[in-house]
Amino acid sequence: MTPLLRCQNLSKQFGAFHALYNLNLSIGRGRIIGLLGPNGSGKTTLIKLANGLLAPSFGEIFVGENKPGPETKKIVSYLPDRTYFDQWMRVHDCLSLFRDFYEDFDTAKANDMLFSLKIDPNALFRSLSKGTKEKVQLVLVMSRKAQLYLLDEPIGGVDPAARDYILQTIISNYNEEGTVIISTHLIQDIEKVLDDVIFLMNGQVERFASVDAIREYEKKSVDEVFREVFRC
Amino acid sequence: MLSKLIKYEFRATAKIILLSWAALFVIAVINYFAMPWTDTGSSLGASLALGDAIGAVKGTMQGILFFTYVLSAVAVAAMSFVLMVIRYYKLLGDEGYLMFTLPVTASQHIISKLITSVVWNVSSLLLVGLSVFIVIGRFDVLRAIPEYWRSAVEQGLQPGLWVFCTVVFVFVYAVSGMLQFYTAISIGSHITRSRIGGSIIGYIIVYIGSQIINGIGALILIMPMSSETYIYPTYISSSAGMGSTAGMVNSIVLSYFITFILVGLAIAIPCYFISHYMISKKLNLH
Repeated sequence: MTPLLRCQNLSKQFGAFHALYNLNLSIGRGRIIGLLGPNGSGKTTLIKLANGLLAPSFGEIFVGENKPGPETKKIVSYLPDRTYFDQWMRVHDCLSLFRDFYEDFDTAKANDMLFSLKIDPNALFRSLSKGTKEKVQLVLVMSRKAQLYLLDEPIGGVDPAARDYILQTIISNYNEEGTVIISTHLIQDIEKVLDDVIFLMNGQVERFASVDAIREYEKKSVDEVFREVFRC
Repeated sequence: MLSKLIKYEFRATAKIILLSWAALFVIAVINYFAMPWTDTGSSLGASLALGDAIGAVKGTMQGILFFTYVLSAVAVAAMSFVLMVIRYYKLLGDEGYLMFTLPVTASQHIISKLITSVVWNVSSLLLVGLSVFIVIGRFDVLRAIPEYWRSAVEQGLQPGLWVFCTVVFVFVYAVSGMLQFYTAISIGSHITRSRIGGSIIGYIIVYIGSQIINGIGALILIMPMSSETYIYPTYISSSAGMGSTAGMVNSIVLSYFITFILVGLAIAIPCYFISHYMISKKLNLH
């Protein structure tokens, strides 16, 4: 079966800095994966490459059988680490935009989630707080029945009370035939929902293992292992 | 998908442009009622000559109002152009994280922005032209156009062809002008970490390239000139009926239009492909 995400000798350079270096990776379906690493380890770069927002310096990246392009964007649902909606838009305009462009977008599900989060669909996007903007974007991303969800720091900007709701939202709304990749520093918060973890160090895969295997063989939590591996 | 992108572009830009149009219209109407030609004996010069203080104040107000109108007209003409350049600049910034993850092609992105910008830019210029007629209150000039047209045709001129060429010329240059900025911004995002600085450097590069093409166009236009035929390229003279003065005027006008339309296309086509290549193969959103 074709892997959902595959990197072959993937490298990305910014000037003299190697954000990713000769990275090889193959990710299958039906998993929730933590993409973990310190600042500058290449997590966001890898996610951007998978979305076609950056071009590789060397090597190749595939989503399914295709390189990033219009076909892969139909099946990838991406939450970036920043807000991207235009100033004039209201929340319901954001929903309309997703409904217009993504065939797999479920408007009813999005409206349900907005209601649960007490977000007014008529509110101007620019008038929302940073955390609420992130919640709106997460709602939109998780209301798609995508095959690959790429979530870059989905809980970084929200209060601890909202984190559980967001994680619950991710677990209960993703397409179970698909895979969710979550990049974050907040390992303790997300550890309980992960099936696998990928540790990135200096642009290369340091470890790709299941959370159960880490707990069983190392007798430690993912957070503890992470602190050992990346100790300064 | 293209129609959806165009709809989104219009929605993103309509509010500010329509407001600027409304403001220009209101200022033009106020100017019409305030201008000296709508009443008699109240111009600034006449008022000062009579020592009429109220008249002088009125004349000064008319000057200020007219200055405001001129500023507004320039602002409206420039605003849609600047706004559409900013839209592309934002596409290669944070907004790109949304737009470039939509299942659309690079061509659709560029074409949707071009169509929107051409519609707004040309409409804004037409509106500025219309506002001049409002200010001077001389719509009778417009009513005289059929008469001028008939007269031109009777003299052997080809006003229909000129209008057609003008429309093509405006369209080509509206597209070409916008594509030069798109190319500059696309190149600029790769030159330096500062996107604004990079875009300025990018524009200098594009400007030099376009001036070289313009220069070649001018040379093509001037080189076939001879003293007997005044000024027109040989590729026109054989087919434009050179037996009369009107024929010569038609030929000259046509030759200029064709040459500069071709020059506009020669600038626009490489700019399109460079912009397309940059966002389809070399996208680099930081």
